[in-house]
This record gives sequence, C-alpha cells and structure tokens, in this order.
Amino acid sequence: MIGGLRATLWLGLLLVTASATVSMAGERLAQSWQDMSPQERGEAFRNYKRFQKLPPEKRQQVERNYDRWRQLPPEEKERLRSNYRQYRDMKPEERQEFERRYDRWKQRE
Amino acid sequence: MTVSTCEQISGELVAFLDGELGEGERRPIADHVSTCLVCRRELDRLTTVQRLLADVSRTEPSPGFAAQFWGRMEAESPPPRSGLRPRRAQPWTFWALPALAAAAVLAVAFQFMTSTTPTPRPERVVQAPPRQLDKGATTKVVAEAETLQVTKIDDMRPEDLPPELLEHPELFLRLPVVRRLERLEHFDAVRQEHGAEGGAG
Repeated sequence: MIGGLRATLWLGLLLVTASATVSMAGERLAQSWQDMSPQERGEAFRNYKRFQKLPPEKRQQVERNYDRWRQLPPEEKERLRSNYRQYRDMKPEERQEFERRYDRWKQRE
Repeated sequence: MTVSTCEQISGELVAFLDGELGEGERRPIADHVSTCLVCRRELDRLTTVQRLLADVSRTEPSPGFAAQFWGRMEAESPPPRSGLRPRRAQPWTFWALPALAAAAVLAVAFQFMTSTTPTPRPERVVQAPPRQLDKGATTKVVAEAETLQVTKIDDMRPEDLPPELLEHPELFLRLPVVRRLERLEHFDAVRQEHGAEGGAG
C-alpha cells in the first residue's frame, strides 16, 4: 500500500519534472540576438521590416502588447504561440469569421 | 488618394485578403481599393498567388527524411571509377530533384505572397539542379532554397543592424503573436462562442 503510494508520488514528481523540462525547451526563446539561429534572425528581420510599415497607432499597440508579453510566464507564452499556430492555419474565410466573432465578443466584454 | 494611404493600405493587403481584419479595418481598405488602381492591381496579384498556392498540396517530409536522404547520398557516391560504364540513375533521383525545385518555387511564392509591397527580384536565383549531384552541390541548392529571399542577416555587422532589432529581438521574432496578443489570449473563449453559435445555427 505504502509502496504503491510512494511509487505514485515518484511518478508524479517525474512527470512534473519532465513537463517542466519540455516546457522550458519549447520556450527556448531567444533572449538575445546572439542566441538566435540564422533562421530566427532572418525571421526577426523580416518582421522588423513589416513592423516598420505599420501605421503609428498599430505600432504603439504592438509596443503595449510587447510590454505585456514580457510579463507573461513561459507556459502562457507557449499557450499563446499554440493558439497562434491554430489561427495561422485557419482558412481565410474561417479567420474572417473568427475576427467577426472576436469583434462581437470584445464589444460585450 | 495620397501615397501615404497607399503605403498604409499595402501593408494591410495580405491581412485583408487572409480575413485577419475586423469589419472596422476592412471597410476603409475595401473603399480605397475600389478607387485606387495601383492597390487594386496589387490585391489582384496577391489574390492570384493565393489561389495558385491553394492548389498546391502541402507535403511534409517524414521525421527521418533528412538522415535517410544524406545516408542515400553517401551510399550513392562511390569512389571514382576508371571504367566508362555510365552510372544508372537511381529511382529516388527522379523525385528528389523535382522536390528540391518545387521547394525552391514554393519558398519564392510564399515570400511573394507574404511581402506587403512589391519587392525587387531576388539577386540570387536557384539554379536548376545539376544532373550529377554531389553532396556539396546539393547542400548549396538546399541552403539557397532555404535562405532564398531571406535577408543575409548574418552577413551584416551588428552596427549595421537597426538598434531596435538588437535591443528587442524577441519582439520581432514573435511579432505575429505579439501583434494579436489579445485575441490569442481569448482564443478559446471566442472559438467556444463560435462553436455554440455554429451549433445553434
């Protein structure tokens, strides 16, 4: 009985450790330019050029969002990135429908 | 219409086409496009690319593809032979070369679609794969396909890079997520609402 409980506890501890490790690996966010791979640097640079083309009010919104993003814990960042992947994979008409519903949801909130 | 309006609109055309904009953002763009020939042409161009890409089925390589590929390359590169007997073409070469070429074309098309303003043609063009591939040549073709149109950022000295980029690399690396932070935070709630209304309808 006690042996079983102990085994369960060990298993739980192992799972938590493994999950944290995976989360940290997934969240290997480049903290500095030097840490980034050539692909990541290329992507960051292209996004930088896109950012430059945004109208000023959108740029300000992005800066505000970034302040919030930096405060988020790694697991929340990973959740948002996962949500983005789903959003990105939507068909244009699905995305438009999502945007419409998001607008309505936002007005209600 | 002023140039600045066209510039602003061109930055949003892909998002407009992809249905990423809310109604309030869509309307001014639709109004502008209905009267501006330049932006309408740009929109037509993006629409054509999107339609072409929609017809291309996406093929994901298996997880062990790269290892398998290079293993076969090694196996297919015997030491030079003195005889004149021609090498037999292996079956995989019939699909590997077109696959590389297709990957390069897709990379160009994807960049073309995602670029917000008309961009000059890339300086470097991926050459047709050589008939007899050696590992070095293949690596070069693959690397060129991967980095095609990607700015050779590593060639630039840090002092030549924009300071904002060096200061906040994470912002720009994660820009698509950061830009849509709020809707991604409430993604599940909005989708659940979607499901509930969709079910009722």
